[in-house]
Amino acid sequence: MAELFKDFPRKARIALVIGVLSYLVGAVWAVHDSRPLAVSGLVAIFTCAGLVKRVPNPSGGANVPLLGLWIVAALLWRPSEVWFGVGVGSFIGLLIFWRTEVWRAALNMVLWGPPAAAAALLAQMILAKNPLGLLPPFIAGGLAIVTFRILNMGLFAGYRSLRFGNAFFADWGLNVIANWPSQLLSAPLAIVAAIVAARTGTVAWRLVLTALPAVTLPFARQELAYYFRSQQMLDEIVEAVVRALEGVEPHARVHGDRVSTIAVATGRRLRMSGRELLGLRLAARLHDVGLLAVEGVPSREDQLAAISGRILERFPDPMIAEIVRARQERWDGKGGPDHKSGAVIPLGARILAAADVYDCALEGLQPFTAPHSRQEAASHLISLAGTVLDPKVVMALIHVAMEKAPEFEAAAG
Amino acid sequence: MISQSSSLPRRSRIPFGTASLALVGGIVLGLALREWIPSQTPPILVTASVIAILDFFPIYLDPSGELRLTVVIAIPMLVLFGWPAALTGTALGMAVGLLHRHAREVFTTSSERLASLIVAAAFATAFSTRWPHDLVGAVVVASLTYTVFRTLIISARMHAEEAITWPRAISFLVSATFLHLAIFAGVAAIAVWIVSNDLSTTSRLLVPVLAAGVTLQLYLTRFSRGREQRRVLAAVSVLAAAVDAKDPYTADHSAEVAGLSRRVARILNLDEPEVHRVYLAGLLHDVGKTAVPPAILLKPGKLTDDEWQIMQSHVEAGVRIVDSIFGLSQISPIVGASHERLDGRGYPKGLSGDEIPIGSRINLVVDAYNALTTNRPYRPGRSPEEALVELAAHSGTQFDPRVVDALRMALGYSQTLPSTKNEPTWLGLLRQPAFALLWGGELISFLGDQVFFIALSLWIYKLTGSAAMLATTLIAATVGQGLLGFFAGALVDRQDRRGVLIATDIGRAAAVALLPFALLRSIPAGLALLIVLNVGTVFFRAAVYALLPSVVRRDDLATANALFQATERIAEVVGGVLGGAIVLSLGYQVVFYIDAISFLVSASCVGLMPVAWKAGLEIAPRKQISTEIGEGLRFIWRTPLHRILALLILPGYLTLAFDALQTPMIVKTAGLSVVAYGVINSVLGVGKLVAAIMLTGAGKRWVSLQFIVTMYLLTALSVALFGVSKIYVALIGVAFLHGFGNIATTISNLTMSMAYTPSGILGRLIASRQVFIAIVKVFAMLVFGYIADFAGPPFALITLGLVSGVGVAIVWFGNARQLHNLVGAQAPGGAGE
Repeated sequence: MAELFKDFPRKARIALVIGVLSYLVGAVWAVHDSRPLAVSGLVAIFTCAGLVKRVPNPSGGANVPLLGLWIVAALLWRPSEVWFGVGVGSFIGLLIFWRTEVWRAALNMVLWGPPAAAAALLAQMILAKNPLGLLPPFIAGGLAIVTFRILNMGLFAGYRSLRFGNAFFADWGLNVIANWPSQLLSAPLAIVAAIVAARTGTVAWRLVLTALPAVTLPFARQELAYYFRSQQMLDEIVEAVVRALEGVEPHARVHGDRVSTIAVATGRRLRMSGRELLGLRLAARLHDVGLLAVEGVPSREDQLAAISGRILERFPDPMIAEIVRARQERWDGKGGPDHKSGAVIPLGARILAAADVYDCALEGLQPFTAPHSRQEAASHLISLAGTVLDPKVVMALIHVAMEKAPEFEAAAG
Repeated sequence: MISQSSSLPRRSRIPFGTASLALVGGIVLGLALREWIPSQTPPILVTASVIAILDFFPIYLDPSGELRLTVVIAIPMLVLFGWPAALTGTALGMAVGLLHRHAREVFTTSSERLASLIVAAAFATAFSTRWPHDLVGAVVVASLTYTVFRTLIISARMHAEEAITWPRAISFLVSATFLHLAIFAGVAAIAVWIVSNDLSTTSRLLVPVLAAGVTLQLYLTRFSRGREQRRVLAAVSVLAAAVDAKDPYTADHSAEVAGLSRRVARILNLDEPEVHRVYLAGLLHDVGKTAVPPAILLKPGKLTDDEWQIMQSHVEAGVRIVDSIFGLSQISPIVGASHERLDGRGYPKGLSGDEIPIGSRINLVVDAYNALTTNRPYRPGRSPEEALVELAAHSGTQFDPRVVDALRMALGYSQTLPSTKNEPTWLGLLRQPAFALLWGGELISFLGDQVFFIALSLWIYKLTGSAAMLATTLIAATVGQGLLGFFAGALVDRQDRRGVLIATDIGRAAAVALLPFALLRSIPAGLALLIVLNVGTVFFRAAVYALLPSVVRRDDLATANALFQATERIAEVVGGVLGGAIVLSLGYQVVFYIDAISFLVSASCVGLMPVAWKAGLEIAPRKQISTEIGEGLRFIWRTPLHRILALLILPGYLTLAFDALQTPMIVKTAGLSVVAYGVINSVLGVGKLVAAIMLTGAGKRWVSLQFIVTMYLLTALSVALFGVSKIYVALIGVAFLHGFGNIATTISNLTMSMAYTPSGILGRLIASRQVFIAIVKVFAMLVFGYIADFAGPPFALITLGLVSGVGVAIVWFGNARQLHNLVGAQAPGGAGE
């Protein structure tokens, strides 16, 4: 939280100032075009939404389950009212209740107000055609979500690319489709509100209908907190297992962490989904868990893989155990324990195998006798590609390894 | 969920139950398909797809279990489009679950949901025919029926699958699911209300979908949380598996300890969050062993002091690990004390008694049990029975006796748990579902009987106007005992006693329900039914008393018997009054139906008892029934204790002739009014009740041969005193004494018979006893009735008292030597096994 506006890259600072200015210009126009009661009510509602405390997210940042509320606003109000009400309301709410810095509140004002207004514009166009029909609210709700997500995430990705130098389109695309079921499921309350509003009409009623979904926010927030707490718990249990592993094999922690970092980066490059990456990360950290089960190091690596896989079978997602079990399979089918070959081996297992070899070479772990340089390790990987390892995976891995070498070094330290 | 260990004994009623539900579902679905018309296709498809989507999002219940949102869409569709469309759509949608869940699980949950929905559909349809325009009312009715039926089925499955008593399973389901089900039902009702005046198909299709969507939106975060929590549980078990893997002989040790600990915790009636903590602690009780070098952990011989130190340090290591995991810190006290002994000689802190968390005490016992029963390199695993004996030997010093008892129960070796010391025994008994249900069932049918007999006598007298017919009726209602007592005993020893109870209950219910028809058409047919009824009662009583020792611990038998007597005495009084009142207000026939219902209630109570079927039976080759009866009689004759008890019956129960002599004594000799007669009789009843209550409180302390003999003598004395009393007050006092002595001997006698008889022969023993008593009673009444006619009631009473007292004394002193041994060995009512 200690970041300051002046620490921003110059480009980002300029962009933010421009964004805020354009928002304000829009806001001046919007005020002219809106009903006073509607605007002040919306500002109040979105300010009060700030009362819902953020939930710290273990993977960084903080979340509030607010999406439903924006969609309700988009379906019930004129675009101009949404532009002003949502933006300004969020700004005040963040400032008063979350005690954020002014620049962050202003940033959120720009990120949320205009996309919500655009969603409202589309939604109102559809709703206006047949105000009392049942189908239009469904369509309008769906469209509003899609519009809101695309614009909101586009602005957000732009901000991050300017600020941190992330790849703009990759960031945007991934975030728009992330968690799509839960995004679609933020519409139903809004659709209900729109149907009811079309039959009752008055501004005051619409304000009540907008505020009602906000009542459910504390519950949703509580569940979200439980959710994150469980995620954290999972991490810590894995940590406890790793600590136990460390007692048997001192390199286990560092090796596991590095392998998981490389494997996840490779998997991301090969377009694995967020869930798959999560599984891959767990599998990579725990890939030698079988060491706990056997006396000393077993003579055959594929036996170890089979034992580790059996232990990990207890996870509800079978993927983790499959990855670990198949990580000693060879691309040409001469590996073990199930003698799979080619694309039959799960992608995660192929990535894990390559990452494991790469890190063992760098660190000089078995079967290597001495640490290799990055180039030597890479050429060793290439020599194995097509026989032991999947060539596509090897290429991707070498690419991310060269690109992100400093980061990996930092992770290992 | 982690699968429970397969080594635990399981009752195998699930597949049967689920299969029958599925069969019903299939038949109704077939009917539904016959009703299919093209216009039903859209609702079927909409229901199916929404159900398929909803099935992806089970709602997580604290602390375990999940709930699906079926109600939200199925019930509005049911009300709006009729049952064929709703049921077909639901079944189709649930079938989609096969794509992403285990087939067995889909089959089980789908059959349950479908069956509940069918019941709901039946009720909703009935409601709609009566009030066709009240759609919201139909939703409420359907949701209510769905909820109730679903709770019943699922709790039955929980009862069968895991060691949870049925009432507990129901209360767990009610507290965990009812709020959510109410929310779903509310949403469904609102959806139907919105479209109730809108007849267009589009809105009737869209609004329920919208309702489902809203529910999903509200519950989405909870769903994600649940998914994550399951993953955490899995990770905990990975940690446990990692620990177990160190020692090849204890694979799955932690999972087994956890599963069995959970059962034990539920039997000990811990609340469900605590049960979950005990489960987690069971999984992680050995987690500190990851810090112990394998050389020490797996060393076959004795550990040196240093090695022992390191070994003991695993507890602290475990606490450190558990504390380091966010959210598991609640279980660290349990893990930290899992090697403390009850007597304070455990490690690391040397806690004792109640200072040790109950979870640790459970884990310690279960851990020891699991260690004893698994194979080791240096010895084979012991059998469960041997292990339990070993645990019992250390219970009280190392282990908590209550936990050991609960483990015995969890493994299916006993049905009851001793009560805690702080509450009276009878209260503890009533807290045990098995006893409470047996007692409740017996009490209800007994009360039904009392009401019934009042009505029967009055009705027969009204129908025939003949006292002789009334007497014949009453004989018909008691003839079974003498004729069939021995057979009843043998049958109860050879058939499943619970089965006999349920069968006789149902048979008696049928007989009583048919009785009004029979009596109105022909009196002999009615009498025949009465005999059937009485035969049923004979078998029922024999089975109840034979089953009791399988339900109640030996030390609690006296209390249990006394409790039965006490409540029966109260029921006699209440039943009489109640019967009169019901006859006056509702007529005779209603009473018969009430009695029939009371038998059915009794049957379902027996059916619900958490006791293994065939409890207490000995598996022996079948013999001729006469041979078996002979075996029972030989057993009585050859066992000193039972021989003496049987011999005592003849002089002791002569006093039952008192019933025949008291009326002429009071009315004729003492010259008192009918009112006084009533008062004396009530006091007699009060004496019985007081005895029963006092024995309920005293428990086994009053169960001994000396006590029985003393009470026989007291009863004989009271009879003699009754003969010499001339004043009203004296008669009242003596009547009280008589009632007291009578019931005290009955309870004490029954208890001794139960406590010192092998379960396999108990039915015959009890039944023979009843036959002896019946014979003695008839004999005494005939003989002393004649004496009374001849020489006057006072003389008969005094003679009766003297004969009985002297007879008891003769039996007592005649067997003095054997008695001496017996009294030394068994008199205190048999502490210990």
